[in-house]
Amino acid sequence: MQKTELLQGTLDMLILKVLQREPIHGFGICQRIQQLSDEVLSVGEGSLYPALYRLQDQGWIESEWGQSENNRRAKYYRLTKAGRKQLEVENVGWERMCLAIRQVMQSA
Amino acid sequence: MGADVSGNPAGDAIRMNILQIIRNRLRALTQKGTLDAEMEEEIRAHLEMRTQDKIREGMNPEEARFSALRQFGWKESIKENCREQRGVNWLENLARDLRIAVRQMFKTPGFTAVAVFTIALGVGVNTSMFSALQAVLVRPLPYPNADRLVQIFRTTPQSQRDPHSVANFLDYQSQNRDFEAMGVATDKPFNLAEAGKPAESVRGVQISAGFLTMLGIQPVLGRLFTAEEDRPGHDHVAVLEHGYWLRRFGGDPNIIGHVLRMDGEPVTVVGVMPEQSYDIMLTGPISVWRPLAFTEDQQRNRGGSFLKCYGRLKPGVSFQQAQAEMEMIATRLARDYPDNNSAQGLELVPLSESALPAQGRAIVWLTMVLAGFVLLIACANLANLQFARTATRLRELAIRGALGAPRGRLLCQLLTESLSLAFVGGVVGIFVAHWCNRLLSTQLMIDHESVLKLPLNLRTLGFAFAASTVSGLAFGLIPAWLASRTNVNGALKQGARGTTGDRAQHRVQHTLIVIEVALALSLLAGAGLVVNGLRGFASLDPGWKVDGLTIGYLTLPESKYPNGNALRTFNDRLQETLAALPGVESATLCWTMPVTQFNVAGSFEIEGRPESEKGHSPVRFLNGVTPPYFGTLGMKFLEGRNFVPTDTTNHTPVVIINEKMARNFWPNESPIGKRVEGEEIVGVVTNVRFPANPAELKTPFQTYRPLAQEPRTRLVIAVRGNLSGDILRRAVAQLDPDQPVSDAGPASARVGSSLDNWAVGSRLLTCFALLGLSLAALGIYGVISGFVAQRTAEIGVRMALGARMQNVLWLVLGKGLRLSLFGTLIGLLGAFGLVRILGSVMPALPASDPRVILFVATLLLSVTFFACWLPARRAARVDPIVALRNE
Repeated sequence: MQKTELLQGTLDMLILKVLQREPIHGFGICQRIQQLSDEVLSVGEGSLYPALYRLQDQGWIESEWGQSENNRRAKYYRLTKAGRKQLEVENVGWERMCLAIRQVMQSA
Repeated sequence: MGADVSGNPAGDAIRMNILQIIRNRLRALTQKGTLDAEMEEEIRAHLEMRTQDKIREGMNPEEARFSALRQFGWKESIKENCREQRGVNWLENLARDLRIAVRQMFKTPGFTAVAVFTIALGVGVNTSMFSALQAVLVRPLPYPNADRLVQIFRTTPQSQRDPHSVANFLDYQSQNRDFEAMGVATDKPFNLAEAGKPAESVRGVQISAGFLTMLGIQPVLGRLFTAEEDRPGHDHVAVLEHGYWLRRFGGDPNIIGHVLRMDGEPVTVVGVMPEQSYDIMLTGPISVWRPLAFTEDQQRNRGGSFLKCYGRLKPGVSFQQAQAEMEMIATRLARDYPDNNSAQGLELVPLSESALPAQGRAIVWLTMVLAGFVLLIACANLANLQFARTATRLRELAIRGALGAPRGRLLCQLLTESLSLAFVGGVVGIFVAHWCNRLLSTQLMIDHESVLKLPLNLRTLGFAFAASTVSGLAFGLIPAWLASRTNVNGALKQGARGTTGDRAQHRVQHTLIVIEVALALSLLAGAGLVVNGLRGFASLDPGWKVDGLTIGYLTLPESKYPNGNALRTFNDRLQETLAALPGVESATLCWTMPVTQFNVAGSFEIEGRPESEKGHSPVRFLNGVTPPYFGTLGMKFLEGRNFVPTDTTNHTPVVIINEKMARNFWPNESPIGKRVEGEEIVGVVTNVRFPANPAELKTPFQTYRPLAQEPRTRLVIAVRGNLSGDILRRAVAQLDPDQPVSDAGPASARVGSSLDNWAVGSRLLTCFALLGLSLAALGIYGVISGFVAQRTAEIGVRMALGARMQNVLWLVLGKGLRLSLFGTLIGLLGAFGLVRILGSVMPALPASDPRVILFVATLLLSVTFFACWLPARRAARVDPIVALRNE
């Protein structure tokens, strides 16, 4: 199966989106992005964790220790209020960009 | 507006949760251990879950674990990346760099001491100069809204800073719209007599109504002057200066209402000034403030200019606006009163900057720049030392670079080291500055009183901080940059055999040495010229015999000596009394003595010649003298005769002119019998110059009048014969015990005290130059020593192959001498530039004296030769066997 490189800067947005529904731990985020993208997008740990820490530093997500499915202590990330707003901002920006790129690509 | 194509959403984050961020960062700083442990645990959990996942997919546990680890990547690197996201990484790095820097300082105490000492000298000298600059050029004024205060000068073709006449001032005051208030002042000594105490001459200032209110001064006791006290007859009131009140009256709280006898009149004390120094004219401490009451005659007078004019701008009025308005008034006055006001202008100067004329400002700036040279040399020196030190650490840096330390981090670390050295140096430098300031303020004096206060305030401390930062960057940046781009391979290979450093580094080091030597030579040349120029000036013949002359100053009160006849009678009796004193060879009375300048000047026209354009008439200095003046001062008659008693009773007033005036206006004929401004020339005497004023070198036109023709209340007494000042005091006291003689003493002391400030300046320059020279010598010594140390092995080989001691000596010496010769050549260019600037600032200096330049160049070359000779000798004594064994 061919994997596509994540567009630069979109990882933060994807993480925020994935966290929108429920708090998950880091490993879960990896898997969720993979699943939701039908195995097209894969997120390496090398970029995931720095991104998580970055988002946390910005105050968009917060973390909490909890129990994982197999009863292991794991750190769960949750969207904050500021994070929800940020997600909206990024969503709008993303839509706009997609539209713009599509227009360019469809031009004669 | 399209979206950012890179689509970096973090950049759009306008609504950052700032509080949250601050909380996070504080936590990152204070709970680093906990956070790291949590990170470790999180990663472990991740790996476990991944392993479980893989086991579910059918891998065996061992394989799954390795696979998970492999997939994760290099854990430490990811952890470091995560830590960087906390946003406090730089702070942690800084702390680490600082720790390393401090450790380095203690590890090499010798280097640290030299570096700190060098920086301290450089920063200290500059900080001290900066506080002087601040105190003199932009004096902090103790007045509210002082930025709206200005001084107004009258400009003429001859001068930029002329005083004003009463009538003109009254016009400025009534015609302007941009000023909230305007005021004038003139300094005047008062004779203070009290029963039971000897008469005393005190320094006073007379001020127009509202002057102190304009400045915004509140008295600590009593009141200021009222508007009524501005009129003649109502002005018998005085405000005492705070310090004078303490000194003379012991801070008596009941002083208000006390009646003093000033100039023979009763004067009531109405107020005491607050404690700060209100020396607005920088003419020395003022003791008494009196109202300035203009008589009706004065109010019409446009010819007699003696007032210093000040003003406070209305709020919101710009400086340019007010300047434009005053120019308009000046144009109007020039049109309406062309006799006194043509070719004149009015110039505003902020009060904080008005104390020094342009020439003085130039001198202060120049001194500051020269102090900057010292700091530059210090920086160049340290850069070279730092080079040598980084060279020994290239290996360490190369290894760290190879292990993945980013170049920026290495650069930062090296810079932190040099900056911390610079700051320690700066702190020591503040002490140096404090010491220099104390020395300077006790040395620079006006009339035997040190008036210059040089405190270390926030601004000077800020300057010291900035100077250390800049020098830390200056001496750290180049070595750090060169070191951080070290080629790993090369450094490791060379490292094994004692680093030789690369060519670029040597080039930079040599350039620095050349610059140091050049700067040092410029400094030496400047100092040499000033010292030599002043010595030359002091040995110039002023045209009168300073030695053996005793002088004293006397101001007679108008109340007691209201007219010419009273003054003439007093003068005649004083002249007789003085001449009869035992030990007096001759005695004279005059308006003024040619010490720094004549106090009276005026423009003139020669009768029978076409008149000069208005405002461009030649100017002559005037002096009124008794006949023995010329003999007493040791001047000679070239033509004509001295004054005789009948001169004053004749119809035509007579004058004696100086040689310069005679030569200039009657080059081919005798001026005797010619007339100037209605006065007949009866004699020509030799020129006199002002022996205490190196700034005024040109011989001016001089004219002498008989004192009896125009007696004045301010008198100078001069007697030849080695007498003490007390004899003059007693002679005056015989005639009028109320009149004190001030500053009585040898004329040479008066000349000396005026020259002292110039001498302080020249000593200051000499200090700078010697500092620069020592630093440059130290620098060249360091570099050549490094050169020898690096090439010991090569020298060993050369000697083993038969090179003689002399060859080796010259190999090393030649290298150093080439550098210092090159620096000297460049320095000569700088020196000539500096000499030109100095010459324009201090006309007394010869334009350039080749002997001085030759002397300082030789001095510099000898000192640098010695600095190179020490390491060269060491090189020549290298034992080839020892050198090669070390290889």
